[in-house]
Amino acid sequence: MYHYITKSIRRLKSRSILVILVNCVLAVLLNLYFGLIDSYRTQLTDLAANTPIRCTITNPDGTREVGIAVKSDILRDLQAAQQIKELDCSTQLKAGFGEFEIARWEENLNLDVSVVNRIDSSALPDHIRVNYQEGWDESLFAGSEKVCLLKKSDMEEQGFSYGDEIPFTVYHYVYIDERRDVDILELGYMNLKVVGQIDDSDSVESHEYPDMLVPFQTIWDAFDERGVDFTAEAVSFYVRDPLALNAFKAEMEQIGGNGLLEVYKGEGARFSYKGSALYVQDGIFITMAGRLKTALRILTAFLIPMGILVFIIGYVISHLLVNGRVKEFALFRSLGVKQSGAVWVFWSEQLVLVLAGNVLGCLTALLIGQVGLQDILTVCGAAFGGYMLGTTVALLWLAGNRPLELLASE
Amino acid sequence: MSRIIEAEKVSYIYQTKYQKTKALSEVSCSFERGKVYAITGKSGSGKSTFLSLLAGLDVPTEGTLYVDGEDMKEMDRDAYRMNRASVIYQAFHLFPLLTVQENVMFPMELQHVPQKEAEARAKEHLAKVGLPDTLYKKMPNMISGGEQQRVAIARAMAAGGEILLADEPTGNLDSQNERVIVDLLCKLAHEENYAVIIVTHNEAVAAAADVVYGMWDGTLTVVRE
Ligand SMILES: Nc1ncnc2c1ncn2[C@@H]1O[C@H](COP(=O)(O)OP(=O)(O)OP(=O)(O)O)[C@@H](O)[C@H]1O
Ligand SMILES: [Mg+2]
Repeated sequence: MYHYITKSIRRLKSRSILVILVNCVLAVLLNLYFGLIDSYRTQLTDLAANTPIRCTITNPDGTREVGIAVKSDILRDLQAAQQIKELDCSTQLKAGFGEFEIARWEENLNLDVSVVNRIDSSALPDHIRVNYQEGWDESLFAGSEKVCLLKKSDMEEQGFSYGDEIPFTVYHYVYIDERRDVDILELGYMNLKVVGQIDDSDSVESHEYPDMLVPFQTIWDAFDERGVDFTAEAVSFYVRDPLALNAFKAEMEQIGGNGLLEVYKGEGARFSYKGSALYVQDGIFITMAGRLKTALRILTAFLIPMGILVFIIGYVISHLLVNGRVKEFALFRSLGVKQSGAVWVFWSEQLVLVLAGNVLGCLTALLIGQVGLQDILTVCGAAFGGYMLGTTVALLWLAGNRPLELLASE
Repeated sequence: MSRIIEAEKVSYIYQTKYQKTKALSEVSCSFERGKVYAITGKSGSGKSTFLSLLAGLDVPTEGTLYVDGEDMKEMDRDAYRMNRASVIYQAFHLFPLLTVQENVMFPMELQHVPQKEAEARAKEHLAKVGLPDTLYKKMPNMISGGEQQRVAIARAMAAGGEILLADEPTGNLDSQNERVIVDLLCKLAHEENYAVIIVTHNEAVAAAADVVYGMWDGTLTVVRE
């Protein structure tokens, strides 16, 4: 029987080559298909990683320049939020060295203070250069220590050095009347330790620099101690997982009790109510991801038809080949070979050819080099299974006939 | 004399999707070892059908066939075909992918006869039916009808067994080769105790048989005993 298989493969050369080729092409095509799906998936995750979605808190009418006062309950919820990252909160204060009376603010209140929770805050100029006292670094901005950074020139002028505890009088802004007009109120005195300096020796850029940097939480705590309502002037952050925008939006609806209800997309901002709104810059991501997702959906929709196709190809080709070999099958039966034995001969003959085709297909796919080995093996396994299933069905159909009928059919 | 096959009111109906054809009706007869039987009759009278049933390719629609007293329906007919009964088909039925010699060796391969012995037996029988050894390595479609017929005869004889069924074995042969084959078949019965059953139109072949049956529209009658 084994000899019969090898002989028939050799003596029906063109048919054997056809079966090998069909299976090879099938394996390569399936590999390309799954490779494509794979590459779209990777593109989508890459897109999510490389196209961060930035969110900015705005006035309810979408403007961001002035008038933003983000309440502390919103801030607290944002700090605890799961779906966001790189929260960037800041506010601006006025301060002066030492203690002085309100009446004398004009000559004393000359320090612009930036209150930030990170040194790369969007409230600070891009190229700002800072130095820290030994033992301190930029992580201090995330904390609540009573520390500050001063301009290098001011430190030299005033004769301060690192580690000095310096008294300040601090004032804060308050929006009144439709939240457009600004008033300035005294917050009080506080001592802050100098642990770093803003390098303003480069005179070109330094005029944009604030005079002083203080950690965000430090100031928030100071407001709370004095029973004054604290608000932030600028808040922005990124969506943690752009592929989970729905979870993100659901969370944003819970922020600060009422939620950041108005989620602005694009430029069409509109006034809604007094409070805070969220401007989500997801336009680019949604467009690009949308295209990828559509392509992926179409591709994966073809999964089942592809499986059926492979089966049908296996069935049709096997059926055609089997039809040409009814006589041999009948002869096997007439010479006393059992039904299962006769099926086995033709089945294993196909098996050898299909395997050879698949191995060739795998090698080709490997050479093309788009898909990993494990994926290739899975895909070829599927192609192989589908084709052999077709073969099996075709052979079982043949075996269902009685030997006498088979012998007569010519 | 030992009886090997007995047919008891054997009927056979070909049933296709569209029609039924009654090919045999209530055929009763028996066959003994060591004898040559001829079955004659018009074309379409049911001779090949009867032979196929004797070969165990199918079972009667009605009635019973006994082999050594055992009902063929209950028998392992695959084993019967492989080891006991050999058939020479009207249409030769050689394997198209095997050479002449491989065709003759194939049934022996199924019976697990050692390769060397199978080869020797194949060559011996091919020589007996008068085929020159230049043909042994040829494919069946490269030789003449008469040559193919003799390959089929050699295959059936080399396979061994107790029963040889031949459907028009001399239909494609000249009278000289016909004599050789008829002598071979008679020897098989008389010297090796086979039951040889030959379907034939040929008077000379029928004359060489020990018993002659006539087939008429699916019924069997004794012509000469
Ligand atoms: N496979 C088949 N399907 C349907 N009917 C068949 C089949 N084979 C034979 N028959 C019918 O059965 C009857 C007997 O056929 P069979 O082949 O046994 O005749 P035969 O005596 O061998 O004829 P010939 O001398 O021409 O070989 C015929 O009427 C034939 O048409
Ligand atoms: Mg016939």
